Amino acid sequence: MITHNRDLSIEFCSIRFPNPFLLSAAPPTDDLDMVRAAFEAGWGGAVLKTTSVETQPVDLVYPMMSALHFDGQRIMGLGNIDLISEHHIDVVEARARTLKTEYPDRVVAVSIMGSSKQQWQELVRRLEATGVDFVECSFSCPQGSMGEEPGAMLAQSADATERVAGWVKQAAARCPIVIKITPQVTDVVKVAQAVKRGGADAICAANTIPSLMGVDVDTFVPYPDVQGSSTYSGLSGPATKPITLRTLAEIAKNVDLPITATGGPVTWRDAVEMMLVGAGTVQFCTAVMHYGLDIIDDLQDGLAFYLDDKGFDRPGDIVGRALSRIVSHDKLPRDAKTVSSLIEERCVKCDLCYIACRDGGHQAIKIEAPDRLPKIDPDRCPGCRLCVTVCPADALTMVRKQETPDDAGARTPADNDRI
Amino acid sequence: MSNGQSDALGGLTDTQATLEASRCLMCEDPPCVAACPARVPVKHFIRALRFGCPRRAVNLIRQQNILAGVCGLACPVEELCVGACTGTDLATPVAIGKLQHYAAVTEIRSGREGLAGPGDGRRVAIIGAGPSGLAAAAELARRGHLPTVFEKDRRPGGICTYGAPADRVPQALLTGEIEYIKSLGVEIRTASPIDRNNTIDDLIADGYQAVYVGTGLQRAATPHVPGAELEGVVTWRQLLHRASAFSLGEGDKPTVASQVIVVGGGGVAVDAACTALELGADDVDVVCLEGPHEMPACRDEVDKAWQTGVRFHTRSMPIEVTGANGKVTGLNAIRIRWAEPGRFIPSNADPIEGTEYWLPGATVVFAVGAAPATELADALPGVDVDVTGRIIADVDTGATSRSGVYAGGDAVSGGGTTIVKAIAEGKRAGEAIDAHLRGMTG
Repeated sequence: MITHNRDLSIEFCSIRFPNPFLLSAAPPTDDLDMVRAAFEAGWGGAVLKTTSVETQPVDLVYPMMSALHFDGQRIMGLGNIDLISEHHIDVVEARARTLKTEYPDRVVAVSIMGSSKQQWQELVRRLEATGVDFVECSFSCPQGSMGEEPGAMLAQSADATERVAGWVKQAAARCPIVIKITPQVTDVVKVAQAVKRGGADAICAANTIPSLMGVDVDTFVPYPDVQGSSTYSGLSGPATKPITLRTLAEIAKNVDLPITATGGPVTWRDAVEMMLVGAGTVQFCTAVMHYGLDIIDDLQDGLAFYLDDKGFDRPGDIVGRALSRIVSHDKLPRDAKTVSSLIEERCVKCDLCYIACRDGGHQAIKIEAPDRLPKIDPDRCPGCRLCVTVCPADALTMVRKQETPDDAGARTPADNDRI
Repeated sequence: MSNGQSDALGGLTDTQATLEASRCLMCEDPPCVAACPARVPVKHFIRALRFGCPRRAVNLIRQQNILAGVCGLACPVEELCVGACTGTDLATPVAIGKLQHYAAVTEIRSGREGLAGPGDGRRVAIIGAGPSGLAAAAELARRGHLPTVFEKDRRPGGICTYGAPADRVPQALLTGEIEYIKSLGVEIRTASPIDRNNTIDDLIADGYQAVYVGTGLQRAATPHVPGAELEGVVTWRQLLHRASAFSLGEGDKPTVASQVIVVGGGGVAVDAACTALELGADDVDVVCLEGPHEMPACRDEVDKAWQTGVRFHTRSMPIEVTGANGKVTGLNAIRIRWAEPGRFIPSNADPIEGTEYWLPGATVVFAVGAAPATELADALPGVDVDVTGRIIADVDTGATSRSGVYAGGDAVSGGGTTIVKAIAEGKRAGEAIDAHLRGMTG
């Protein structure tokens, strides 16, 4: 149940989305009834799981899931060795047609993957004919995509990306073409520029990240254990969000193409962050696999109340708002100094700030009897903010250090380097 | 953003709430929801907190329970949601009450008002601004009706204001929640009793098209014990009402003797005992039929009373209030055993011969039950009541024998309705009244 009454619609590639949240091409979109359930729950759209023109059955391997848990919290990251949909293109076509008929107000897209020009173009033509709103091209599935070159992905080559994007675009009569790329490249901007040169309409950033999920130290078999063997997984989930944000920001700052984000969002706040760095829509998968389809209610309410609080009219108004704040390291301001400061009434005296500053910082925090509250020496504290990040009680904050001209004049060149 | 609890609303800090919410397993078909009389969507409100949207959390709670913060504090959660929590099997149950209170006060601090309904509906009179009346009024306002609440006391809140010791529900919290209810379009008229001189016939003549009766318990049960007429014998209701009124600046401080005896083992008995201590009593003895683990009072409350010095004389029954010169001097009681194990009712109690004892005390508080006011029936022509004065009403809708008149809470149950259950009944009656009004023509 949603508890707001605000219009959250957004336009993306000239397609109207009832809200900016859609399901990415993944297990939750590989079944007609599951997508129906998603639309009933309120999702704005769905990208049906990647299909291809198969000549033989998709050879899935089980178990395929493993996870990165951390310190008592489950699924910081989710790893999969899944492949594309095992359902035949004929089935996927029929699903797309059915969904578009049953839910004309929702955005229905299909993800495709081919291995030749002829295949890519056939896929686009066939799916476009079903009435889908856009076609997403997976240039980036970490598992099994390139066959002869394990782990290599189409989107790791700018030339290949441009060429194949061009084929796909050439075959598309009506549908916007979205290219799904990988964050696993040296320079994602080059790949995004290639997408643009190829003529595609938008970028989906980004696919899962090639990973080794862990190793069973008793059996020496990495996860997931497939009868004593394992392989590299595609990593998704909250742990990948910072990588997604960086990928989005780099593309948005350098390439003039709409972006649909994917990779790690769980909450409305994650989605808003992605929109602030340039995403027009946000795709979800791991969060739904973990918490269920009805998180769409949390996302919609959260976004609606955020827009209320900030005084924005439409979700589209926030897209890219943070981009101008991202500058190269050498352009960061270096004049005003901030130091750590304690909010005494919140402090629980756990000493974690002290430990972090002592062993990972600048020995600027002392714990002394009788009150055992951390005392921050503003002269020793360069303001690195490590203590703020470790404090479990939100009891530390950064404040502007009042510097006198004498202080500034007394700085040695070495001090200046440190600041 | 506030992270402190320095204001009168109190509660968890943001940090504490985040940590606590992160422990919720967020089960499908959560047992905590099934255990909540108001069916608060616990999983979903905790998830909303956890996913950074306290406003959604409080909206979800208020859909089901309009006094979200009050119940977060006052609900016997150990016997309801928290007692059912799946997390108990892993570690410890999630502090659901505290999280609900946190969500509510976070929203109250924001000062945000509710969305008033369209207000194009019918006028409905609500008698009593206690939990069930407020819940019925809020539900009706949300559905577009124009509810007016008639409250005989000087403040709204009913048992939340006048029933319990003042520290149970901070007035700032109750006031915040009542302001929110008003913002939905509910009018509350205090010091406006409905009685034999101003009956529901008069309300209907004034243009009210339906009535909800949520008058609670107005009269404590009269004990059948010799000496009950002596000066110094009071009922729990008199004591608590006067104590609460005094703490609100209404009326004089009630006086209690230095030695006070409370008879009863329910929640109100424990409330009365604690209140007597707060009013200055040096010794408070509670005499109750039930054993320590049989008392209907909430375990936490009993423990708290015990720690503040209240003495409990369990499996005992009063024989006689002793007196001299027309004034109470103490209580004669006797130990009992249960004739049939497990049935904790007076008729099943066997006095054990030779175990009589006497407790000194110049104030005796009877907290052995209560009943709706007998004079209530005079204000409700056409509404059937039973021999004890309880209104006879449908358990699902609250509909009474008179069309268009509904009732809920203690006025129907005759006592023992928890606040949260009274709210659930008020909300359900609000829904039923809405259906009734929509079914009417013209």
